[in-house]
Amino acid sequence: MLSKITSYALIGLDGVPVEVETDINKGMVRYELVGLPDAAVKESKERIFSAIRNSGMRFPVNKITVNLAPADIKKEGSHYDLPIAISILRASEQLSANADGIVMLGELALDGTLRAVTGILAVLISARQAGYKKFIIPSANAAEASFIEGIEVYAPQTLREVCDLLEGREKLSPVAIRKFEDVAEEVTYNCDMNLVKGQEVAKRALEIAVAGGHNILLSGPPGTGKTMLARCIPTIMPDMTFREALEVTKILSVSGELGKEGIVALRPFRTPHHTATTASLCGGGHSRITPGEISKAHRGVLFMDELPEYSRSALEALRQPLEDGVITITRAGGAVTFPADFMLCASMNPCPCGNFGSSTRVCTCSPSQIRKYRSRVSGPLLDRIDLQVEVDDVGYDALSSSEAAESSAEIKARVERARSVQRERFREETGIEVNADMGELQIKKYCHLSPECEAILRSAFERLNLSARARSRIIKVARTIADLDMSEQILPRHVLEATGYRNFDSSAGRL
Amino acid sequence: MISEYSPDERALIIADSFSELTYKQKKYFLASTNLQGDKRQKYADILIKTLGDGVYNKLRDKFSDSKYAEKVLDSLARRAISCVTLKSGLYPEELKNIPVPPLVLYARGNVQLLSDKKVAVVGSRRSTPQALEECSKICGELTRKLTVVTGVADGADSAAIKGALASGRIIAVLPGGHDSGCAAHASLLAKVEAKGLSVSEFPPKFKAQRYTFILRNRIIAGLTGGTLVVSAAERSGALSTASYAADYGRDVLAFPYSLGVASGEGCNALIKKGAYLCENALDIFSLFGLELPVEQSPDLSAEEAAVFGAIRGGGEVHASEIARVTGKSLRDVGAICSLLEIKGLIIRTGGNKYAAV
Repeated sequence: MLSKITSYALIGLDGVPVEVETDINKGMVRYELVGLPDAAVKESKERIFSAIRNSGMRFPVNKITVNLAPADIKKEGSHYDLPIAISILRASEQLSANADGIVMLGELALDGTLRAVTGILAVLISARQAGYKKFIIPSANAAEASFIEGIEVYAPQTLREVCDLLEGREKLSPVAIRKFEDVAEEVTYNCDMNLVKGQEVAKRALEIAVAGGHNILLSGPPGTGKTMLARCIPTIMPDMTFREALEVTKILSVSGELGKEGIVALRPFRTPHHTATTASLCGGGHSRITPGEISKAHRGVLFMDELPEYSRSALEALRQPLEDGVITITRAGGAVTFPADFMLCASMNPCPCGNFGSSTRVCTCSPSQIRKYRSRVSGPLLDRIDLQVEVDDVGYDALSSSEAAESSAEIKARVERARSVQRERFREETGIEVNADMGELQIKKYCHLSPECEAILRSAFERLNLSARARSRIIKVARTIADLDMSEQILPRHVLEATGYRNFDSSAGRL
Repeated sequence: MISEYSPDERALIIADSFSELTYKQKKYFLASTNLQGDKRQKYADILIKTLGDGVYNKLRDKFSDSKYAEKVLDSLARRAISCVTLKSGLYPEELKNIPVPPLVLYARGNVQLLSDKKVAVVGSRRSTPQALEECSKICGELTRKLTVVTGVADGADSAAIKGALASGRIIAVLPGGHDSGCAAHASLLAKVEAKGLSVSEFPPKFKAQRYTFILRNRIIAGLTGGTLVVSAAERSGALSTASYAADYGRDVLAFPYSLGVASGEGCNALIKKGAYLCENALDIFSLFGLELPVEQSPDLSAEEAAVFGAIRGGGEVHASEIARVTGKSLRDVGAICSLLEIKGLIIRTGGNKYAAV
């Protein structure tokens, strides 16, 4: 007899329905699995065999042919165990219930328990779009499914339970829908801006960076709290909307990094080590293409500590996603696009020994060493980092520790206000949400400079020997500062403050 | 550019092209070709004794070979290098008075600068940003009346060049021949040669050696009426220039430094030994007996003046310290500091600190 069960394959973040067809015929005892299965799928036979037997059922002793259609897509992962097992049980007439239109996913343990699999959320979302309404997934993945409305998801614990459910012997209620807002309220970041003493200049720069979606480079001697500051960035970013949270969760679900919550309610903060390869940053893999760090930092912060220490090719690979907000990875097997709309926060020492500009320690680097160190970060990459700011030497902690520092919530309120101004401004522009996304055209349109501001910019260029590309960066940052100020016009003081955040251009010129 | 050389000058250029000869031997060689009778023989004998018969005769042949002369002059002309020889009218008087004046100055650029009044500005490669900014600024002002002479290196030299370049009154003295121009400073040197002048006492192909930097310093000191040391650690090449200047009876000036600044210890030591303390261009002009119209103080608003005052009051001042002293918000301080920076009154010294210049 022939049976068909529906399952799903993942290509990048998108799902494709897969028909699991099983045919059992008289003939020599054989088990044939076709349809481009990878090693994990091929090995499923042993798991299925034991799981069926240990669930008190019979593994047919006949010629069994399992086909995963469409036959031209590679099938990867362990989530085909359940659909294949059910399909075999139906083909051997141990199960009579109709399973049409039910999408099944799950890995089997030898005793018949269902184990968690990756990418459930991505599958649910694309299957819902394709019109599927009913799903059976492992109970360990239930949390992930509880935020999708309009579908019926069952999360049994064992193969036996799946059979009972299908046969109607047991009533299992579908996974209850949870409200994202409720979950989001429960989780909090474990750091806060008011824990960072001093560093007022850097904090202000971070506020501007977050408000306008700008990338930022922190430079300062080692041990001055660059990492601590960076960790606080997510705490002043606007809360994630449900749509954003789903995007992030989908990526982490596919890469198998999703926690128990089932949804990511906090903005991600990723810190790849500087030995990271291009593939680990951008995504890749030879048969199954998985998201890299920049996609896992989607809607959050990618913190690159010691920027010049990263390999040149890894840094250069960041340029295109920084521009487009997505990354397309092409391999011989096909191309996959992952979202990668992140805020880059990079940090570096001012020189190889780290003491350049320090008042307490002596820098032992020669100017040519410093030039060489800084030149490791290429101009095109720096072009995409709008704010470059110096972090204070630790000695200043004592100086300003008596001042009460602002909490993240206060800063966040200002950021959100500035963001709403920008939403209003870019309502009619597609693909532009924040000031940092502006191109030359939009700068002309939305950043009108008074003659006074123009004069300041011009003299700044002559005096501080700025590069031409620094101009549009300064204007964009000035626009954000004006937005934070709730000022429609960009005023001279906004331009002046923006001019202050281009430390890298000017001090490099003075060496 | 000088294309015509007198026979004497030609002789000097040809003799100087003999890389196998030392400075003294070149002088003897010239004497042995110039003088008459016994004296001539005397010098020839000395050379034969030290060089050997063969080498001496070979050089004599080369010296009188017009083809060789053409080759040497051609190769110089091709590089756009003019030779200012000891016998040339352009050869600076100041330089003639030093114990070992270069026989030939290989020059590229505006050779007329050699007859200007000149001041040397030297310093170490590792200098504070404040000293560098101050150096650029002072060089810019000096060029109103003087030509600035310096070396080609990172730090103070580059700052001096940047400051003086706009006016074109800049002479850079190279430690080697023109061909060996250091790649790191190629573009800076090209700018100097386009508007000012670069000189070297070595033929184009001569590569700079450790000792030639010291020899070069004697020319910097010798070319000028005074030497300003903008920065120098306890041991620094800039100090050798200063000591040459003192030996030649020229004025030595130095920037003063506060205690504990490593790159200023040499300067303070010079002042202790009697060098003039230099704070601005006027100090140099008065030493050179030049007069300069008084510059009016910059126009500042009340809040700008307050911030500027706070910065002037304390050497390197941190932004939050300025905010505390002036009672302004950090953001306002940042904006005003940017403005003062644009006006050229202050600079950033790293780590969100500012200093007045």
